[in-house]
Parts: sequence; C-alpha cells; structure tokens
Amino acid sequence: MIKKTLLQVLLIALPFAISAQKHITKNGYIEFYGKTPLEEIKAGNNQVASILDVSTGEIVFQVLMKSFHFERALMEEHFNENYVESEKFPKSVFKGRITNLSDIDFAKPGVYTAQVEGDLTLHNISKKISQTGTIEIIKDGIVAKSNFKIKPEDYDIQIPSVVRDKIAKEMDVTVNMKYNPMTQ
Amino acid sequence: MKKQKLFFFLGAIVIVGLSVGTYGIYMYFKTHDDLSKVRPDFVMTARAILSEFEMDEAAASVRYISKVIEITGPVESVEIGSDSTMNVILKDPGYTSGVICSFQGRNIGEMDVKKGSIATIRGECSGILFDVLLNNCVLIGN
Repeated sequence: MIKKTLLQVLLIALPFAISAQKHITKNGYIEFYGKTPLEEIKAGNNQVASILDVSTGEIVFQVLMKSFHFERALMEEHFNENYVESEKFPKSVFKGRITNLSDIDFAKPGVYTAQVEGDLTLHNISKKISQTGTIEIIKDGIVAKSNFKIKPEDYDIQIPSVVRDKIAKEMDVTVNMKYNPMTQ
Repeated sequence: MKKQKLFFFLGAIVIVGLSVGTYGIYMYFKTHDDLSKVRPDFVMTARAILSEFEMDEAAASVRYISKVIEITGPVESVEIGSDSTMNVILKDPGYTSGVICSFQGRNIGEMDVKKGSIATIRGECSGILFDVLLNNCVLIGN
C-alpha cells in the first residue's frame, strides 16, 4: 500500500523533477568585437535564446543576426547585407554539450569551469568548436559566461579586399547568459 | 573669358567634391534613426504578430523583418541586461511566447513600463526565435 502511494507520488512528481533540469533564457547577451588601427567593430545582441540541460550537459544557443546592434547604422546595414547575409541566413545556432559535467555541482553555489564542445552554425556553415567558459550557480539561477575568438573567413564570410585591412582577422566573442529554471 | 570658365568649372568640382565627401562622412558616422520620429510600416497587437509568425514563419519573415512595427500588448516583464541594454517583454496571459523588445542604452526608465500595464512600443523586427524580436525600440505609449 505504501509502495503504491510512493509510486504514485513519484509518477506525479517525476515530470516536475525532469523539467527542473532544464534552464532557459531569452534575454542572453552575445557581443563581438574586433579592432584594427583603422576601424573598431562592436555589436551586441541582448535577445539570445539558450537552453541548458543540467542533467545531460546539453546546451543550445540561438540568435537572430538582425538583432545584433551596431552603433553606426551603415555598419549594421553592411553587416546584414554584405557579410552575414541575414536575409538568406537569419539564424546562428550553437548546439553542444558540457564535457566536464561531473566537475560541476549544480546544487552548490560557486563558480565552475566548463568545457563546452559542439557545432556552431553561422552563415550556413557549421564548424566544430571547443571552448572554455564558466558556470556560476547563484541563488535564483545559473550564470554562464565565455570568451573566445572566431574568424569570419572560417564561416565563408567574404570581406572585400578594399576593406580587408580595416576589419580585424579575428573577432572576440563574449557570451553572458543568466538562466532561470524552465517552468513548463 | 576662358579663364573665367575654367574657374567656374574648378569651383563646381570643388563644391560637388566637398558635398559628396561631407555626405559620405555623415553617412559613415550616422547612428540609427530615432524610431519615435519614423512612421511605422505596421501597427498591430503582440498577439496578432505572434500568430502570423507561428502560422507561417516564411511569409511573416518576408512581410515583417526589417520593417518598423508598432506593437501594443501587456507588459509581462522588464529584463535589465548585463550591458547597457534592456528588454521589455510583451506577452498575453496564458501564452508561452510574446514579443521581446530591445532598448539600447535604457532610453526609458524601468519605472516607465510597469509589469501588467499595456504598453505600445515601436521597433524594427528581427524575426522569431521562441518569441518575435524587435530591435532599436522606443516607447510610444503606456
């Protein structure tokens, strides 16, 4: 009898326990920055959607290229029309997993180093990338941060030779996410 | 007489050159248009644009992306970013998705939009992820 009740409680509670493993943000921030003596390029996107599953370590990021904001309107127009071709390829997606999941105690507040590897799709080109970041467990959620470099040429983003020297060969990418438990 | 013609000709070239140069420099450093002074291409509710994107994303993308859209809907929350930006989320009760409006430089105070109130926001549509996203937003009414 007790066993049966226990089983019932478990069956009812299980879906909630599973859903609590997933954390989500729709207001994540990704910035890229490149500087040469001739030109400084900086753009931020505060509408990054990301889901982190703490039980499997799976992590997914999605951004709309059009949501990258440049201070100068013409630079933003060139970025969308000539470089990343936002109309043809509106989204950039990263799908991967934390490979050192056992080093992170999601129940204990603190800052942990996370190794992440997966596929980054940008401008319709997918590349395997492997990066390091931090996972911080705080009272009301999880904060994930990372800093890495990408080369536009790796994603077949063509930069005309006239301006090639003005644009940095590598872009610094900054990732800053604040996840909340997924409620549904 | 010939000299006069030459001067006139050179003068015209200098003037045209200067105006093209000035215009070029102006365009190069120009920031984004203040959308409060731009007439919206579409005026609609948060629910209406969301349902169009959910029904046919491809068609809605062609229709709305890069257009200036004025959206009215209930404020679900205001999210302050780690940088200088903020998002105002318009979402109808009972819906899982809505419209996320990105403001640069927090040109509205957090107190200007209250959770639960109805706000009207103008912005440029970037498309849809889980929610319809608007960029470069300004608050029109609250």
